[in-house]
This record gives sequence, structure tokens and C-alpha cells, in this order.
Amino acid sequence: MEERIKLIFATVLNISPDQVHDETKPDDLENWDSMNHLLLVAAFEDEFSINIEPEEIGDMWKNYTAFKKLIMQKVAQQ
Amino acid sequence: MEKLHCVQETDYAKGRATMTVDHIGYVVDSIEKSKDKFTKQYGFSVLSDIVYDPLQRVRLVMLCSSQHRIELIEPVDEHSPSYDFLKKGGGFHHICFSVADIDASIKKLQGEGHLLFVKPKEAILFGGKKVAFLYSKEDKKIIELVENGE
Repeated sequence: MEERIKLIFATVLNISPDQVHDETKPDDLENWDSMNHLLLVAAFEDEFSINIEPEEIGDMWKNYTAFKKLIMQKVAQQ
Repeated sequence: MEKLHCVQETDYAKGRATMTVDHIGYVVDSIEKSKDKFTKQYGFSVLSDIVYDPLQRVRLVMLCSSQHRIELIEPVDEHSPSYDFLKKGGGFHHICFSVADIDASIKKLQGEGHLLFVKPKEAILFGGKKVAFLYSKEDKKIIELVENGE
């Protein structure tokens, strides 16, 4: 699951998965800006058929760990 | 050419529309400079004072040309959600639609491929009317809703 999330994340941002680490923050990736963050959230909603709340969208923009954890929690709750 | 005159044929004209365009949001790096440009070069009138929205960390002003309104948006610092957009050049940012029932409109749009990313909240530029922001997954664009209270 973690590898799948990383691959989708990197594909949406058009970067290599090698650039994505648990501690990666939006400031570390030029493509992870506020607009592309919405693109990411939308892509994961569709990929896993999950619903992400507005407050969670902000929480996921802290670092990749927070992003990944939220996706895994949502998938596990299904 | 006749089809360009859409007013007579639209649902809006027939009183059936649930969403009507309220304004276009346009991100700029200096609200004073852009306000001057839009008024002096493009003939817009100024509809509001420049206000600061602490939630979005932006300065805002509403301009008008004929029945068309444009909202100039100036992010005040890098913590503003629209700062990244400005860094990439700014300009057209969102379309805002006026709706009668914001919660019902959000629910409908969420069922039609839109992601709600800012829940309804009172907007200082609209005298406390509720606004919300959604992201169209298909168009990859932002739309805003403002509840008109009608």
C-alpha cells in the first residue's frame, strides 16, 4: 500500500518516487504547491473511492508522512 | 452570431438557474497597481474598499464593468493559500457563482466531481455572506460559491 501511495503521489506531481520521503515537506518539492495539493487529494479520492474532509486537506499539507497516514486511515476505514 | 446573445435563452433569463456567475477572481501582486490598471485602462469602476481577509491572508477589492464583476486578490505573504498561484504568474484564479442555498449546492457539486476544500464561512468582502471553495476534478480549476440569501 505504501509503495502504491508513493507511486501515485509522484506520478501526479510528475516527479520521481525517489524524491519522496517520509520527511518530505511541500517546501522541498517545487511541484507540491497549493494547487497541485488539490490535484493530489482529488486523485487519491478517485483512486481509492474515499472522501477527504476540508480540514483534512490542510492537515495533509504538512509533510508526506501526514499525507500518507491520512490516505491509509481512510482506506482502512472503508 | 445570434447565439452569442445568450441572455434570452439561458436558464437564468427564464428564472430556472440555480447558479449564476457572481464574479471572477483574479490574483495580483499589487492590488493598488492592478486597481489603477483595471480602472484607467479597462474602464472598470470600483465597487468596494480594499479589505483584508485574515482567513485567506489576502487583500481584496471588487471592481465592475457593465454587469461583470472582478475580484482582485493580493496574497499578503507566503502563508496565503493563493501565494503559490501568484508565484506561477497569477491572473485568472476562480469563478464565483451565486447560489440560493450554499449547503445544497455544495452537496450537488460534490456528487458531480468537485472537492470541497474550504467549508462555508462568512466573507468580509460580501458583508458576512457565506462563501465556500471547491475544486473541479475535471477542469482542475477552483470555483467559489456565495450564498445570496434569496
